[in-house]
Amino acid sequence: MKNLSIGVFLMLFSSLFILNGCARHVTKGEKFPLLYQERPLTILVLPPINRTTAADAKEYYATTITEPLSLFGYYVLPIEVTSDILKMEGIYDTELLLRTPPQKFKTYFGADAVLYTTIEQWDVSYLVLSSTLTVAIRCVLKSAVSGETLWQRKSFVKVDLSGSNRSVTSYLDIAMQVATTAVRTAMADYVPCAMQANYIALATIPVGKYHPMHGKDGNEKFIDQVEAKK
Amino acid sequence: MKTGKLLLIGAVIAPFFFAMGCAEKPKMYYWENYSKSLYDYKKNPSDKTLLEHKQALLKVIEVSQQHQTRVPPGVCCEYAYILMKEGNNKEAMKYLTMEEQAYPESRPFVARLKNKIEVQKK
Repeated sequence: MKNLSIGVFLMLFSSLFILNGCARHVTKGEKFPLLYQERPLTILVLPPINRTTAADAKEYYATTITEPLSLFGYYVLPIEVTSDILKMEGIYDTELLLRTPPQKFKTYFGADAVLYTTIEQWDVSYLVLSSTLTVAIRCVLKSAVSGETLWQRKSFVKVDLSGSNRSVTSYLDIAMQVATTAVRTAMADYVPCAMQANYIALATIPVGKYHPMHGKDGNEKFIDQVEAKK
Repeated sequence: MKTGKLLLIGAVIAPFFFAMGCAEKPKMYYWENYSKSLYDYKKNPSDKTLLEHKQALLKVIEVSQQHQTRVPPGVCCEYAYILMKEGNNKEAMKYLTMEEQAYPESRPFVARLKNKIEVQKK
């Protein structure tokens, strides 16, 4: 009798876990239904929207997005060429980019979807004995047919530039450490961090036509790492 | 007890081997030095860095052909665009056609660029 009741208890308990599991696992197909419906192939990456005070971030960040996006199976229009054309057409600045309906890009570039990238953070914060480099980005993919948002994602990469935590014994030592931090920061490169942030963001995007998993990843679990960290 | 521990260690290590196996698969694209040379050009635009970026683009095309994989999207087009700017329209046409053949969906955009060349000729 006792065994039976333990058995029943265990069954109830385990079913709770299963239910719990089901509730939390959203699939990519459920999360981004419009993307699976429209199946965009050609993506136009617009010139990045820079929300930071680092003036050079826009140009530098733009060099890091094509490579990852292509590896997720999409045909990416050459951003160097498209940005140049947009510049000539006078739609390079953020305000104008946001005011232009995504559908416009369908007719001009033959794009199925438009990727808006926003640089939200691109800086090094200095503390007395350490400094941290942060790159934070936001990607929004909008349909060039319906104008709807198909996929979006934020991500960030933080790097501690000060390296090992040495114990500080004298004032001289502190001065030395401040100096090393400054030197390291000067050499620090934002670009590899931006590239990494792109890979983290794109990890959730349903893959495109040139990826072997195309059309088969709808049942894959959607894992939101950024939210998990908070 | 000992075997249990060994099994546990095995279970932890095995996925790493799987991951390593995956890494050795043929690559989807050979981007080579593309991002780096583009960044160098942006950081310090000059004839020298532009030439280096052109060479990087050509390298991507060559290496992809050697491995019989598709040239990554936009690379032929970007190379053609630089050639167009330099006035080398004949070569530019060749690379635009390459882009179009590898990626049929690039046709509307490539047609626009080819059109530019045609207009210049007249």
